[in-house]
Amino acid sequence: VSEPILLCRTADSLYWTGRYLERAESLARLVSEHTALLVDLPTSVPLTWEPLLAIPGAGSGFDDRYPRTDEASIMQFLLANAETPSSLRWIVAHARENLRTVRQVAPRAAWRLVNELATFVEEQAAAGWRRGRRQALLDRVLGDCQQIAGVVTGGMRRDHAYEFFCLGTQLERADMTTRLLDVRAAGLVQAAADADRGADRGAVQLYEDLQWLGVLRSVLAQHAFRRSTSDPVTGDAVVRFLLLDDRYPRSVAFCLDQVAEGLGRLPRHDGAAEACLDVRLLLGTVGATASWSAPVIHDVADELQLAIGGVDDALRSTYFEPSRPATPAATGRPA
Amino acid sequence: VTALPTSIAALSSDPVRDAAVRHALTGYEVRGHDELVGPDGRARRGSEALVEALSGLSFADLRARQRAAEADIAAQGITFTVYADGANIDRAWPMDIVPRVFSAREWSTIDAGLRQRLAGLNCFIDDLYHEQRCVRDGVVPAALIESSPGWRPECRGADPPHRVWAHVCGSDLVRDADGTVYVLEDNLRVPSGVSYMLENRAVTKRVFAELFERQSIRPVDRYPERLLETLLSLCPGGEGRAVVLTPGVYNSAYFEHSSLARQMGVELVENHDLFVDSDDVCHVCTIEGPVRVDAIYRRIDDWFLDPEVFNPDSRLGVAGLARAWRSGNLALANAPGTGVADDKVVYTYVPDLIRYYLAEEPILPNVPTFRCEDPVQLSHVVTNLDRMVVKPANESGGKGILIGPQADRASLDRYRERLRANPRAWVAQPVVELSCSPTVNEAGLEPRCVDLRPFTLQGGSGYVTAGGLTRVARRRGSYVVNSSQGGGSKDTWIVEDRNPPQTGASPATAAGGRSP
Repeated sequence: VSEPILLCRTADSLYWTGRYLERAESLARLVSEHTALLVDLPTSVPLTWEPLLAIPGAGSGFDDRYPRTDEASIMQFLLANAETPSSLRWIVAHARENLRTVRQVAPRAAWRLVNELATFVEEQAAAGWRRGRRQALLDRVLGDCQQIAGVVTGGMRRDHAYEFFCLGTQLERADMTTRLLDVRAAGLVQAAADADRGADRGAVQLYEDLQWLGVLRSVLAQHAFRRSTSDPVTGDAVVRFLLLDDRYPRSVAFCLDQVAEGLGRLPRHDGAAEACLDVRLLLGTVGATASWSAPVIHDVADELQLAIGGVDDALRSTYFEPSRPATPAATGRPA
Repeated sequence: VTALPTSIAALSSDPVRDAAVRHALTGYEVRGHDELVGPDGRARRGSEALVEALSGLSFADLRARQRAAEADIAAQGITFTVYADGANIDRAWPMDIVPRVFSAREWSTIDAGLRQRLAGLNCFIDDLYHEQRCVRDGVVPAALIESSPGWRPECRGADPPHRVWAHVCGSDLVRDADGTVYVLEDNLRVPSGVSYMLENRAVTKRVFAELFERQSIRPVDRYPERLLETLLSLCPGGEGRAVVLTPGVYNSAYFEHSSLARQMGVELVENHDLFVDSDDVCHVCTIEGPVRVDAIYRRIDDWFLDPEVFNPDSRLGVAGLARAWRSGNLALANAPGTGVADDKVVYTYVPDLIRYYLAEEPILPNVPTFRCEDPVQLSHVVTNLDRMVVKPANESGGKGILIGPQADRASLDRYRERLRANPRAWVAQPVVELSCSPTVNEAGLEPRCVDLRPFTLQGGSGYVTAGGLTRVARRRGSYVVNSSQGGGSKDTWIVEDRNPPQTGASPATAAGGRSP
């Protein structure tokens, strides 16, 4: 009868549902791989839990709540804390709250899965500080997130509602990949540089490739990386792959290509498309980087995160904040 | 269907084992009028196949299905929101797995009665906001109208499409001890519950599919389409854009608003998604800019609908909706002002109103009701208060009700004072011994009081749900079925007769006999 429309508020909630689900999956994978890696490494290799705290960024509230930076505290903070936006529990709960307000436009099974997942995480996340219980929790989150993605891609009409869900997913993915590089890759490069000057050089070098594989696995990229090249797993190769590979769905470049394509299918996309172009131009510039030292990785990650934030801002001002007449219509008229 | 053999049954004497081997209906004690079985213990008309199925099940199996239903409801996020201790709490929707049955034959009478009633009510509302012939002709007193909190003088002279004001009506029906079905209330403001009717059926199908074998049960899921059809019939030319307007995610019926919007394939909007321009046209904010809206299924009480004309402090409404509605640019379902017929004192006049406007005898009777504003009736009510149910004339959700036989002396005295102080605000009814239906409890099936809320639509054409939402009292002997007060619900079946009576007419003749 009438063409489908998409409310500003609905677009907003779908976008954030996509973002939060992707964030939950990324965080779960990161914690899972970090745990697995720690098990593999000898105690002489300096890998701690603290880098994970940098994922949500500065001012995340960890220091106010936990006196010690040990595994149990960090896991509580990243998995179970109900009040801080950096925890898995908060993220999944907010995916549910966003989807709740728009469940009428998403596939029914998606709501069911998100609702069940949120209930499960609420009940089980507190047990995640124990290594023995953690993997089952994370596996469930990873499995459910992928199932939800499958239900959405397999069942949702490719209309504007779908585009906003995907924009959320892709931007979050790009953003999380930059954060991973920032936190893990920069740390590794720094450790190697420090080791060159110190005594532990042997142990660090011995396990460096293992650590880089861990970085790849944290974004599900080990297999994809191996298929893309027969070069050895070195820091430079991994960083380039995660930033620039144009076929890997979690590389920053690939995600931004997806965002650009999605925007092309939306009306009034000029502002957001321009912001998206800025990120891609930035990627083009950093592609010329010859050597990835820790400070360089930090700077690039920061710049990329800011540029990705620019796309987010443009989406908000263009689509989520509705345009309406500046002054309310005349009041007081009799009906 | 036979009971599944279970390993539990092999254990030696323990209560679980007894439950496993005992048939689900064994030991079920009928109380009052039972919906499933008659006084002789045999299945009522339409319930034969269900009784057969239940008789073949062990109680343990039945209880397992009940648990499966509860798990399914939790997983689907089928909730309702209650306000308690100053917070909003999402509760899982309570549903009992044993369906409540009507025979198709009985239902056809109820169906006709509900259509008739809504048609009469719509004539009444339209008359009230125009010439008020009913007052002039002495059918209802003028004072009644103006003292009704649902009366909206701002709506006088408005001409909604088809002269229909109440498009969605949720009636409450009860059956008393002698089997008569009465209308207890007409809910014409923003009645809720229909989505739970749809969900209950879906749950029963998922967890108890074999019950549907060997009988024909009318599907319920046409409702969303018929609702959309009704909304579109209000748009000029029968085409346009309809939306559902919700007060928001914290409303107790939010689940329903979202679920209906979804099933109709229309947008669910909140007040800040809409605006009315100075051209009296309503728009919704979309990613492409403002888009015109032609019909709103509003789930906000009309008092809060438009701060320009109704409550100026409303933060749920949209300024200008009433203007857009009056100028014919926007249909509102239900129209503002329908609440005047939702008044429980007005209710007492509905049979007379049906005779007056439709020149027909009412098909469904009212529960006999005393108007406390009449001094003679008030004195009778006050004297016999311990045998009465007293209701506020303008409340919903079971608020403020006194059930005389279950009240203590202090409450009775307090209500006597209230009635005398403001008689217009109250009606009283003799206690209706609500019929019961078998309901799963820890120990076995027990009778619980039930009512029924069917939904009736009127727009370009009419529709009645196939059944409705059966609500169940939580405790034995209780008459309180409201979900806000702990009541449960049941899937409701309209079962086709096993051997439909021979009409004598061949299908071809019947079809040919219809007028084009």
